[in-house]
Amino acid sequence: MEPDNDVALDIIITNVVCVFRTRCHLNLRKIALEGSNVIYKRDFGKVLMKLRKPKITASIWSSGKIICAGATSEEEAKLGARRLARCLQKLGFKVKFTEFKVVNVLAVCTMPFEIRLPEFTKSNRPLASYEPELHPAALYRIKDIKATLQVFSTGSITVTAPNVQFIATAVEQTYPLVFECRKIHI
Amino acid sequence: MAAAQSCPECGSSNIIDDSHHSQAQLVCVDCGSVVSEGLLTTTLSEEQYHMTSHSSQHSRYSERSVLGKQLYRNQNRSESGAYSERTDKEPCRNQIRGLQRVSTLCHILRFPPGVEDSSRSLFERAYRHPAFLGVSLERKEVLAGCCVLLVGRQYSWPVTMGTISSLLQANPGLMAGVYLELVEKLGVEAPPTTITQLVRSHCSSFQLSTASVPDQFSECLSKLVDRASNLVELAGEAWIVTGRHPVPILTAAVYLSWLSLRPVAPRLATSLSRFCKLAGVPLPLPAHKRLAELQDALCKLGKELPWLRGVKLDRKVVAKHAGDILKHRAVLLRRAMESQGGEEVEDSEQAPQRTLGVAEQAACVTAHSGASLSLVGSVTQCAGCEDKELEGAAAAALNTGGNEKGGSAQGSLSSPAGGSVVQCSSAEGSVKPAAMVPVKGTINSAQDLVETEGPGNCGTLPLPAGGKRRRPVFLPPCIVNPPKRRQRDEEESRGREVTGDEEISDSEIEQYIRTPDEMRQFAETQSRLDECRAEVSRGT
Repeated sequence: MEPDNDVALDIIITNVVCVFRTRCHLNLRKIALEGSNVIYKRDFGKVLMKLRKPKITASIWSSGKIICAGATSEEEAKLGARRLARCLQKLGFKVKFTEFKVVNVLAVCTMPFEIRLPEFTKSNRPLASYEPELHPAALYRIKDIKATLQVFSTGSITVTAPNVQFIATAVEQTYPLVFECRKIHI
Repeated sequence: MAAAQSCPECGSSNIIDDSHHSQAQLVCVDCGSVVSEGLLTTTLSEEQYHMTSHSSQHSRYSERSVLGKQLYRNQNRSESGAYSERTDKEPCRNQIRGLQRVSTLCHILRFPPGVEDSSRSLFERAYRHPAFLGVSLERKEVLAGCCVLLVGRQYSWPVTMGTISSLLQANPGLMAGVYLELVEKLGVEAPPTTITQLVRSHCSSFQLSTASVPDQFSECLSKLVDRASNLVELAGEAWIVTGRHPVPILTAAVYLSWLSLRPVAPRLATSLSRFCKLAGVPLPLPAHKRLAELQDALCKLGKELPWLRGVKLDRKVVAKHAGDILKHRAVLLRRAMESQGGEEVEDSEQAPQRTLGVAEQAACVTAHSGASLSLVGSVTQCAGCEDKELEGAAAAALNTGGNEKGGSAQGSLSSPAGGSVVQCSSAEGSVKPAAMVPVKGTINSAQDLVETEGPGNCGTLPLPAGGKRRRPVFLPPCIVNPPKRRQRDEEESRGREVTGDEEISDSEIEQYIRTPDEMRQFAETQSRLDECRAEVSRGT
């Protein structure tokens, strides 16, 4: 049976950021010269390398620290990071894939109702804050799982958390709060 | 200086060493006569000599003097020992200036005295908070404005952040950062100002009295405020206010109100920018867009007026009929939903089954409080029931000619139904399988919840026979004009599951490494570019 989008509550992961170390010094000039899909940012002391599959962008520093962003799942992020390490190995560096860690996951979830943001903010102070002059969404922070949620009045919620499990937990915890403040149509 | 043994006046031997400002004196306790007095001390060594040899508990030196600072520096200190954190220290120059700034802002904004006192005390408290002690002077200047804004909000005084940042000529981004930090560090609650609170203050800034503009352009403030308030309410229902800055909406609403209150030819020929110049008010850039959106919203509702059927209603002429449209907006919205809203959705019996299907396949998350998706569906359908009940009474009132107020007595407008958000989620694409992995544990529980609660919920809430949900008339702009999203290769990602530990073949990596020929060409091109740049820099 195909999913009915009328009442679907999908959590769509849009971005996964991960870091890993290569445990060796990297010559950025050599990477810029011999690697394709590479941008050398001399002022910032880093090299940007883009992979096609999975579609990720990596920032490479000469110390061997690499940050990868753009994956749509934790597994994809790990695969992309490993591909990148393999690519650097092919370029001639003695790379070791160590200290891999997913540091940030961004997901979007849409509620099937609109949300009254002033009421939501009032009933969830001080964790929630809403400044319409600054940003159209209400910001809700959950400290124990280090999750930040942006609640829009259209019902869309953007969740940022250290991993996918925390994202699901954050949405579970927030759903009853936004459900109480939903817009009921006459 | 040797202490005298007895007083020459009374013969008493009770002589004490008492200092008069910085002059050491020997004074008789019994008769009070000064037995002897020393030189006015001008050197630290003399003061120290007097201090150590003739110290008295009652003697006290000025805290501003060198000796005084040395003697009393350990008293009245905070726990950390910093002078800056002393609670009883005198206010520094910047703090005094900041307090003056707060007072000036309060006078400009015409705060009552009580509000001004609260602002000053909040500023003093914030200034001494560790978070604002070592900050730059610019931040301290902005802190004054933030305190005024915070207290204004607590007292429901209509003042915006933009107003205060323009009065202080401060960077709005900096002001926002300092304001949020102030709220967080001091733990002060302040409800944000709603747009309806700002209507009156914004209208009063427009100089439209008979003294400042010609008669045909002048307008009474109270009428302008009423009409603008109605327009702002309509804008709130039409998704024009949500997520947008309030000032451009208010400017557009005031302009439209001014046009509609007396739609004579000279007024209709005046553009928004000319109106703002006339009224002496700055024109914010997004105001043109907000005006167009307001006019479109009025056109949508105006098509339902019986005496306007067949009349071509566009942005230029809608201002003439704005009064009637606003008077009957509740009824017009019902009618617009019937005639202009398109699809009907399935009835309540099929809704729980559909939600079951969703729970099986999609990564549905249900709250532990039991607020399941089937409950949401039935609330929407109950809303449709109330729709029908209200509509009969309202339509009858409207058909009498639109002059009665009964048709508009239904309270606030209805908001767009949840179907609008549905379209947004469907445009997102399907769920990535990998994203479902950690959430699958809840799917079984979601199924149980839906099975047990779905029919029950539908039973408790009254539903019309064959309840239908209409597509809303007004939709959020992000749904009407969805942003173009990149088409990802979804079939491939659905087809194989990524584990992260797959083998990586050499052929996949070779595409990211240049061939020796390419490297040589790149190096040559790079060197030529460097030479050209060097020539250019030598030439200049």
